[in-house]
Amino acid sequence: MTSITLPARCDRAAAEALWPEFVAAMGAGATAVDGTAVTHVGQAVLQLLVSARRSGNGASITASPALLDAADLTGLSAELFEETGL
Amino acid sequence: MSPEEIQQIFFVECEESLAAAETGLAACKAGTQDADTINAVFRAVHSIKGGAGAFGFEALQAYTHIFETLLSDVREGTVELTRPLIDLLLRALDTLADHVSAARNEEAAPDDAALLAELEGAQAANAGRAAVAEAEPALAPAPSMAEASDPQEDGDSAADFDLDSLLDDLAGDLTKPEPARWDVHIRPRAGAMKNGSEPLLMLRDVASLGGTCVVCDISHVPALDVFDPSQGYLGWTYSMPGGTPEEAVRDIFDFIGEDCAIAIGEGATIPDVDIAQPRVPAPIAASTAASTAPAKPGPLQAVATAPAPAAPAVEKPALAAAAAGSAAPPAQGQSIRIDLAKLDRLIDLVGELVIAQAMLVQRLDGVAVTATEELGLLESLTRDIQESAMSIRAQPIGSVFSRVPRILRDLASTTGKHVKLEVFGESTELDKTVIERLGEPLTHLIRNAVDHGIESAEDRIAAGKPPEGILTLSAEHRSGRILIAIGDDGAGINRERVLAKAIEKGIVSPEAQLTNEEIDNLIFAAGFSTAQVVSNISGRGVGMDVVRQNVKDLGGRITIDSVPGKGTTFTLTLPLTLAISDGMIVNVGDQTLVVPLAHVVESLRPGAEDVQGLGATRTMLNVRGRFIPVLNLRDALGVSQGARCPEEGVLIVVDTESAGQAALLVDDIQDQRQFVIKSLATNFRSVEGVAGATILGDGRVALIVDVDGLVACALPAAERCLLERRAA
Repeated sequence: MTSITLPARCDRAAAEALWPEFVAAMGAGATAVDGTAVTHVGQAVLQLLVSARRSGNGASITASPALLDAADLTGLSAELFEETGL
Repeated sequence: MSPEEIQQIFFVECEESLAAAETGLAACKAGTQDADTINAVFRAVHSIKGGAGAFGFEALQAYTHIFETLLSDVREGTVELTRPLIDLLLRALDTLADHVSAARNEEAAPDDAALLAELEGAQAANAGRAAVAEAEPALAPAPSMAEASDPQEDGDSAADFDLDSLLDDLAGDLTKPEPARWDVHIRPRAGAMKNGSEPLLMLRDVASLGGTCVVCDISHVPALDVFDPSQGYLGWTYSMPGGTPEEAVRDIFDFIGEDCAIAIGEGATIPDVDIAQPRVPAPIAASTAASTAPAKPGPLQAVATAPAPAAPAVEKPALAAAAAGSAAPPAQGQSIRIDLAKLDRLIDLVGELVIAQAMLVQRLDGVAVTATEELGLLESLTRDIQESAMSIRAQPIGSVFSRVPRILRDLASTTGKHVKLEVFGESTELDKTVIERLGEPLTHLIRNAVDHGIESAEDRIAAGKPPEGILTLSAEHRSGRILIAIGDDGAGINRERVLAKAIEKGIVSPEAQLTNEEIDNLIFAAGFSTAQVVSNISGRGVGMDVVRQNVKDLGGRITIDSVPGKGTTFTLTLPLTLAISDGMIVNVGDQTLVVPLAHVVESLRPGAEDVQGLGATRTMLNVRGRFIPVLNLRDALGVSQGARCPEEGVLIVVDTESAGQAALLVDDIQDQRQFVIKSLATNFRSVEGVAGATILGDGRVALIVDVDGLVACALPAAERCLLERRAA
């Protein structure tokens, strides 16, 4: 399992930087995403996480309060954090 | 463009919005309270709120939200725009300016609690009145209904109907059914995430209006290998409370324009995704998707088929809806923002072009090449380019004048003097650099006019004047320069007191015989102040000398015209631009000098009978029956050679602001052409009588004569009057 740590500020620039990491991690089983340090998150990273969850072997995300809050605001809590059985 | 640069643009727009709101509220105060004016104020504050939200300035956003809510009620007519309310809104605007400044300088937000309470109070009070106003007509018929309560007389149905209606009115919202919730469908495009913009901040605004997310459309999110972080794949449906105005939601997305499609209304759905220029070509995306995630339907195929033929049908109304609130009228012409450094570079290059052109002319003259037509064309084109370049930098002075009402309001609260402002010529344009550097001297002069010039209300009434003072600001172009006048209708300069104070401080000797003009000019002396009490506004004597220095640094002059009992007017004469000007190239001994053309009236070679000697040193020139003093530039500038008497050279009659006309004696006139002004103070040091330097066509440096300074210095007013009288 590959682990990817999200930075504190997850804006579009962060999504650009993280995307290759996620692609590279795709072939190595489910990806563990550590989002506990996230203080700010934008649409770009949220949709990247959605994509990661739905691609390859999926991803399990550990979230910070800011990430949980953003997911709640955007109706993505279930999509991002519910166990999928993958 | 970096997020910091975008943020700077936001702050520039904030300044424009603040100025627009100030203008709108001033118009309201003057009696223009039409929908357009009120709307303009609302839009200005709303625009700041939108940007503040997008950039995460929470304090600014929270403040503008409450300010905007009151303005919205005013716009909708639920709150009456009274004089006290306008004053409150103006104060709120001042605090908004402080908020913007705090956000810009990353300082602590101003204390706005009391003002916010006032704003909310004004809204609540008016809302209360509105509720009473609605209830009153219903209550009024009550006695008659009581009298008519006998069903036998008036009939059951009418009485029952009225009672029900009365109860409905009194109960108000309690008995009314909750208005139905409605949906807003949101689809941020790729552009909504560019340049530091963040759709989630807008969604937060929607949530703050009571919106809750009911649908998040993730069907367009592609698999990782074809994912493009720059695109917008998500779409949302938010359910809004029934009482939320549709416009309030549209306003949130105004700021971002078409980069975020929204759709509202019966049958509307989330606008379709619009993926522009996918990072990976669609066919590859489709095959990759099919091979990597066969078990996951929907999103992966969706990428390949994203530009579905059905999309435009849904898209058009949504785009129209998004554009409806924000689109500027296209007829007004387009504009772009340019980095000032690029513009300065352009101006510098134009300056170099002017020099290169002059060099070319000189070189061709030297080798006797006759290309008059081509050179004429080149000169004309160079001049056109220069004028166009300068016009890009030109800005209306209104941007400086618009700050004055705030200064006056602040002064009114500290001095108790209420001043009416009259502004003329605010559309007069001048160079941006001049505009920027004009703010400080102008503020000093206005504070001075209110603190020292305009009397207290009691004194004004005693003097037979209206209790409210008048401050007049005006700007106009005059012969290549700009004149800015700051006038008050106060008591005028108390010359006896000024002179006494100057003697006391040792600025002038007790024996000195000074003209009124010279006494007035004493207030510009460093450390001079007649204020009996040093206030935090003025009186420390550090203001007026700074004002004169600032104006001088801008290549301008300041003059005073004061009439006791009637008021004082300060006139600033400034160059239109600090870069390029027209001048007369003259020779004095071995020096080449430039006399700015703006000062030149005429030039002549005098006959012996036109010149008259006065005493041992002075010479006067008879210009059609009027005598003006002759100033020898050779002596004035300390040049070792050159014409000693008018018969040996040429006289250039010049006009000055403060010292009238004079005739400058030079050896001969070489040419008349444009010159690029290079600051002597920046590159060397400031020299009395020299305004700057320029580079000539042959590469030599020539000094630019400071005509005003030179004449005023060489011919003091008292001596000049005497000379003119004696010569006449």
